[in-house]
Amino acid sequence: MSSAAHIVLRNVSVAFPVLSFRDRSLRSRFVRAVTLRSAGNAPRPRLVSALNGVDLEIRAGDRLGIIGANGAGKTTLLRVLAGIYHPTAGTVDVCGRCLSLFDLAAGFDEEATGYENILRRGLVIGARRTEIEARRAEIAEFTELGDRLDLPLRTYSSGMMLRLIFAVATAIEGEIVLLDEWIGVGDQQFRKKARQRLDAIVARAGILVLASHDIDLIKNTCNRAILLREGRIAAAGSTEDILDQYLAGTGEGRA
Amino acid sequence: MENRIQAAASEIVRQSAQFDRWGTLALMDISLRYRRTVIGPLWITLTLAATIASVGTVYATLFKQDVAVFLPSFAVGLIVWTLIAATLQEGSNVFVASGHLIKAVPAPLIVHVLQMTARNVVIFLHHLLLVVLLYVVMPWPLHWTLLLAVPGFAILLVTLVGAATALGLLCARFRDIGSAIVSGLQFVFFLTPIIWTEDAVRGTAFHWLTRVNPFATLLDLVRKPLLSQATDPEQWLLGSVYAVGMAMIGLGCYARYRHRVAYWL
Repeated sequence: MSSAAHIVLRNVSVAFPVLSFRDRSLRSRFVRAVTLRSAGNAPRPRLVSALNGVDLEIRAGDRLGIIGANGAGKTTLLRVLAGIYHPTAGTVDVCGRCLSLFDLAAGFDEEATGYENILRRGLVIGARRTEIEARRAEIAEFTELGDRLDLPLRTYSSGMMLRLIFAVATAIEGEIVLLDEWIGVGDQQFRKKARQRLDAIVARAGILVLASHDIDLIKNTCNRAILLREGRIAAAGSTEDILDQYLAGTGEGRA
Repeated sequence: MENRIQAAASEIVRQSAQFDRWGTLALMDISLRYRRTVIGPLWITLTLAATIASVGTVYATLFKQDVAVFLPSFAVGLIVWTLIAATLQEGSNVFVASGHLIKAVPAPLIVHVLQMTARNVVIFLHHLLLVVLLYVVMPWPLHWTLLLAVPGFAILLVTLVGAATALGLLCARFRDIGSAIVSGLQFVFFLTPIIWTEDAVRGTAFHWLTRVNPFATLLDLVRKPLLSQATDPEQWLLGSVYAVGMAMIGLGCYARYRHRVAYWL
């Protein structure tokens, strides 16, 4: 199933417009146009470059770690791979079903019951109704929430909610798994179970892309790594080399 | 550009076909919104009925009109207008309102527009209960022209989806348009024959309004069949032109700006 999965990024750049209150107003733009103030005077929205000329090729079997300081562009890169951000320049070619495991709570509704939320979140991420209904029992069993799945989400404790969110998010598999930090949820017993399931999903996936600050996790999980610095790929290579470079850069010398 | 239009069009067609996705989400939205009420969305129908009964009789008296003629026309007019106004108003906010979802889950943006429109159509269907009631109370025979409400409604829906898509994109970028649309719609409400009738302005300077106002044309394509009144071919032609035009504007905006929305939110 996973042999065909691949990702090719060519010269990908992402720049965000930082829209001020004035930039968001059509009225002020209209007034500028009518009063014939030259375009030179009009402040253009400031652009913040989040990714800059990223070239990357990921093939089936790759376990890619993304390392970098806060704001280096890790999450933006993951969102580009997931298809949420379409790059302002360059091309993205993603082949294979993507399972993006971040922002897992999006699509849940406080007022809906656990079962309804299973359906809701499933539909939101693009699964077919029949597909979700086929997995409903399995998801319910995994959460171990039993009859409480008939209660509205607002009555759940945060631990219960995390169980449900995790179970739904990981019910549908993908050939390409995108992870923004490893997910750990719940009490000891559930944490172990969640860990096993995530391990299994990662093992079955053709491609894993994992952004993390956890050095040991990257070392144990990934076979390749890239180091992002200010939106550029500062280095790419084997996990060991890249981690060494990263740690040298942060001045955190480790044996 | 041609490729982009084609890609956008095929995305819209593909997503529209996935009725079980946005349709189910829309139904869930409604059932969640009215979960803790006994009669659900019929509450809005009830409120609307109260407005129709009170405002309808007052205006009929004020304008010295026959209540039996004015009230049905006003009732159906208001029901259709509620759909138009709600869809355009929510449409202008549709991408901003689902901002966190758009930035979290990769999904074609048109799904949000379809879901929002479906929600308003379901509410509209609840309101149709009032039309059924009219037929029970009034001594009208059922006429086959009632069926023309279906193509009329299709024309209205296509126009609304096109307009909501374009407005949603525009308002994601320029946040001050939303409030302008709210007041604009109020303005249009008075320029559209809802609280006044075409017959009342016949021969006055305002009569041309019923001809050139697209809202009047689109409204009548649903209202007149529902009231078993005759529609004229010119209105069908105009309505189709509006629908095609608005669909093309919506498609153009969608092709050009849909990938920018995530950056604007």
